[in-house]
Amino acid sequence: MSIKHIGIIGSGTMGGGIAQVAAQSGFNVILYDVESSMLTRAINNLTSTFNRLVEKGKLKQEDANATLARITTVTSFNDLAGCDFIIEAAPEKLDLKQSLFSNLESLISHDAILATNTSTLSVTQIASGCKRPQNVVGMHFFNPAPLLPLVEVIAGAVTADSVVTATLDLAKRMGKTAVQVKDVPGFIVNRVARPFYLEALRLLEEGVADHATLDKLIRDGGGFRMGPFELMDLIGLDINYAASISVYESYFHEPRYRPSLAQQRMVESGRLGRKTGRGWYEYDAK
Amino acid sequence: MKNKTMNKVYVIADGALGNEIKLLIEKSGYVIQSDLLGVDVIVEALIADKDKKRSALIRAAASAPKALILTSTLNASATEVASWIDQPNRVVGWAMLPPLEKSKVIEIQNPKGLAKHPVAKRSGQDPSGLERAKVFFESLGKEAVMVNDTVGGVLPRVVANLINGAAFAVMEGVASPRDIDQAMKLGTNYPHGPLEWGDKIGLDQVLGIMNALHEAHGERYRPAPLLVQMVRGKRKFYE
Repeated sequence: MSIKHIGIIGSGTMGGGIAQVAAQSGFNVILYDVESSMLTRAINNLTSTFNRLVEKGKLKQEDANATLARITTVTSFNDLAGCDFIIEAAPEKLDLKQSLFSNLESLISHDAILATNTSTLSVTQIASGCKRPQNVVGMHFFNPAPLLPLVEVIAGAVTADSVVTATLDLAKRMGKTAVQVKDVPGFIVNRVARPFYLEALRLLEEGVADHATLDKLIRDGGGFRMGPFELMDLIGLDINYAASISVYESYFHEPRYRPSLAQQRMVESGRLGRKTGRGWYEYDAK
Repeated sequence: MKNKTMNKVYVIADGALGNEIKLLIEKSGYVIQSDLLGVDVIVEALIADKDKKRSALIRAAASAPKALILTSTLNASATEVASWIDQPNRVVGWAMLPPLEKSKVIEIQNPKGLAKHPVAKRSGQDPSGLERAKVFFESLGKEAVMVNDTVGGVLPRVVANLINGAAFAVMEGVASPRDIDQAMKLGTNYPHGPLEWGDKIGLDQVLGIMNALHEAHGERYRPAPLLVQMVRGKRKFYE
């Protein structure tokens, strides 16, 4: 199957970013949202991003125009009927995604692929309400999608091999490095990265050193770009804590993933990192 | 550069960390001694096998009763090592991981309960073990950063757990080693993929760290069965 028309569900940060990547790679994009105001905002954001790139000489005006011309915005589900491949970037709610997928399935051709950009839910479970769950796959982009080169392609328990292969291939055609992952909680990155945060938090709780010393030793000793506490402040402590809770619960309370009480207290206190001006470190008010 | 009061250095070490610390010591102008007679500093990094570490350190400490003992805390805390040695106040822990060359810092740890030990402070000529350790590591071009004594240190504990977790993921068929490393480098900006880092450090050394953490802290630090098998089979993730 040759993929030409890509549908994208949801025009928030992720959906808009994926639409940009797809359109810049030459695909025709149909961007869907329930709210036309969201669509307008997504296109305005994209236009101003392109304008900045054109000003800096990093993008030609005609290329920017051509990319924007490849994106059609729609608020009706029926307009997605001709898509070969649909990427869903709706809010992380299981029942919402399940109903989206079973509705979409009845519109599109039998061999069209339905991909979810979920980062925390089970692809297998999202597919479970579909008549053709073998055509459902995970395609996990990282935020900001236009800049980060990685895509995790997740094979659900019943996803067809040909669907996984087509998705890996599509990610490559979008200029991304694709890795193939089994449908496990956290996939690769969110699972394998947990000890970076959790061990640092344990060292803090055990009184081995303060957070700034731990950051310094891990960053300057290991060659990481940021220490774990700086990185938590950047990500947002609430987001990072929620990811730890999600992985811990999904692995049936595996002790390796046990979350941190110190982090929970920080979240409760409203010190969420850079976005609140205070997390592990203090930041100047914007 | 070399500190003149710590002229004679003896090294007992294995693995990549052992090789790298030897090279660093030599590059800093020290001549590594071939016997223990009259040495000023003993640097130890025997991480794969704790029994070997214990017997080697007890023997070395007896042969060089005045030497400062710098023990790697990757598989035993400085406090535990000090409990094996006759003059425990000369034991200081240190920790770091390969590639050592790129690291700007070295962790040092004082055995617990010995911080106020009445070490000889005769007219500043015999500073405490901790001060001598700082001077020595700084002569190797690293900033010595003091942390409270704990098995596994800071960086080795974090990185060994990343590697161990990645080994569990390989064992469970989550993804190939190459895809896991690729994802961690691109998705989170890690300097090395956890599995290739494990190969560089030596999987026997990683297992040594995990075994020690498991013994001290329990189930959370259980080594991945795949890691144990790979060490037994002398295998690497990338052959």
